[in-house]
Amino acid sequence: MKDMEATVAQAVPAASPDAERVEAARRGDQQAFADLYQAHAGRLMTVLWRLAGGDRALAEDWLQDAFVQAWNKLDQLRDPAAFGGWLKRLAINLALGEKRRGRLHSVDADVDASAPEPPWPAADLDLERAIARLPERSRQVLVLFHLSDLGHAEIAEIMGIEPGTSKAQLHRARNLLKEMLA
Amino acid sequence: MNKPRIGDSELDRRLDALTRVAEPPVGAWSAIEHRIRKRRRSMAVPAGLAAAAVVFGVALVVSQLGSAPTYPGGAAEAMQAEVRAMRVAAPETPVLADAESPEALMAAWQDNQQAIEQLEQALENDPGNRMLLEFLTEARLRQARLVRSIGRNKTPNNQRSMNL
Repeated sequence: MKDMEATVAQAVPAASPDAERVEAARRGDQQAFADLYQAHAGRLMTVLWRLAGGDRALAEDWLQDAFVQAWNKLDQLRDPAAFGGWLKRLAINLALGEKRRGRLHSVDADVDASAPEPPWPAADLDLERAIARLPERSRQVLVLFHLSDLGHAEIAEIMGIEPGTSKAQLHRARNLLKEMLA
Repeated sequence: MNKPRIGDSELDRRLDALTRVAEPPVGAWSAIEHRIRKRRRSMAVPAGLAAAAVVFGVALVVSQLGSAPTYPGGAAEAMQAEVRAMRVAAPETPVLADAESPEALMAAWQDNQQAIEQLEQALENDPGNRMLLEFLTEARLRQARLVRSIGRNKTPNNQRSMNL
């Protein structure tokens, strides 16, 4: 009997923590949504800060907007266990969309735009700053490819470009980084 | 002399070593919480008002049903008596200013007629409800006044459309 229970337990995958939190948040449980924030905001922030070229205020604005949008659109999420990927896509779309529209945010006056300081203990400050200094399109492709684990097809779709253009931009970004880090 | 560029493998190694997860920004959650709470509250207020209105309406109907005396002679006779009383009591002075346009008077007459029909329908389901009878009497009284007002501005079309 115990063997059968163990077999059943192994066969039925445990519900992911995200799925349970999403279901609770859909019912209006803000604490569950706060838990989702704790689980995903840190990872998302590193991507957004780099997409923003080291502008922390802008990255935090995007982060807030992404979570507020996620809260409002939770009912549209088909697979609650896929919340992380869905949120990342939502935040990236938001960030790139705002860049496309040319919306400017107030930049923290205390921050040196040429030498931005990541809001976390930087493992490689030279590389972080070199990425921040890349031309915008090249930086976006590099961040999405190397630091967001997206493929060229997905990057092309998100940015509204051809996959070949994405590859070319990545090649350019890498060459520039190699020069800057020499 | 140019410095040698770093190689692809060195670049990949350094990119892989970059921080992928940081502490979530401290102040951002409180801002998010404020924004989603504000939205939820603004959505909740109309729902609360609607619920309160339903409760109030149900309470009103229940209290009226509980206290409303029935007419011993039957609803139809009671209504006829009310209407006769209304006809007697209807004042000669118009309820609406003479300056009202014929269109406005007709619109008011049609609205009132619709209310009368709804009250009559409600009374069929609840013949002894005194409050409904009172409303119906008032509506018919108002209708009589409107008819008089319209009569002062009457047009052939208006006269035909009203079943007086």
